[in-house]
Amino acid sequence: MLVIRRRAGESLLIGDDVEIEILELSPAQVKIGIRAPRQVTILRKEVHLTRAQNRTASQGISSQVLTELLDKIGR
Amino acid sequence: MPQFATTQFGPIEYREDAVVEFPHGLPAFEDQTRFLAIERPGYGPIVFLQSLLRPELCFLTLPVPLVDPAYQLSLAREELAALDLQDADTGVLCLAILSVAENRAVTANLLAPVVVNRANRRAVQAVRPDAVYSHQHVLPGGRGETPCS
Repeated sequence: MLVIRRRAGESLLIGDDVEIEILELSPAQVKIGIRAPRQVTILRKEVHLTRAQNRTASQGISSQVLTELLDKIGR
Repeated sequence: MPQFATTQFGPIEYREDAVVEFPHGLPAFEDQTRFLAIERPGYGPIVFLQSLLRPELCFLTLPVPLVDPAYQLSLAREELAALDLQDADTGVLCLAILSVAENRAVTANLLAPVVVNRANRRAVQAVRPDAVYSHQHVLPGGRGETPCS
């Protein structure tokens, strides 16, 4: 992982057209601003993971797996 | 009573006051705002979260305390507002959505539990910003590992 030290008010670029600016620092949080083209999707990582997980979960679980699951949780 | 034709269960009748409302839908399913929490004989403690807008959309869930008895629920201010709750300590049903991971293990999403206010049936999928719990929590236990009592 690339690690860069920045202060509030400083920026970095990803490619030619995504800019990330450090707006505010506090002991527990950092507030960042992002400039990017409209077509670039920006999601919090946990939301991205949950979207992917929900899509997988929506595919359903076969009756065989369901039976194994019921055994596993000791129905 | 209204009826809805589901893929999983066929036609089902339901009471309007049993409908669970997700004001913002769920991540990746933002347009899905109405569900039923269905418990079926022989399938307890599984709770089926059946969409009332898409017949084929049915999530399998387990009560979070069954997956992790020590689970600490954390709700952001906007999630409490969506649920019309003052705090998360009382009167909520907390469900973990299940899925089958690539290695075929069944996993539960503890990163983002479904939280239902039992009083008004409003619900959110509360995505935690911290990294305390996994989105692919492998279900513990199994018969071979159950301690004798």
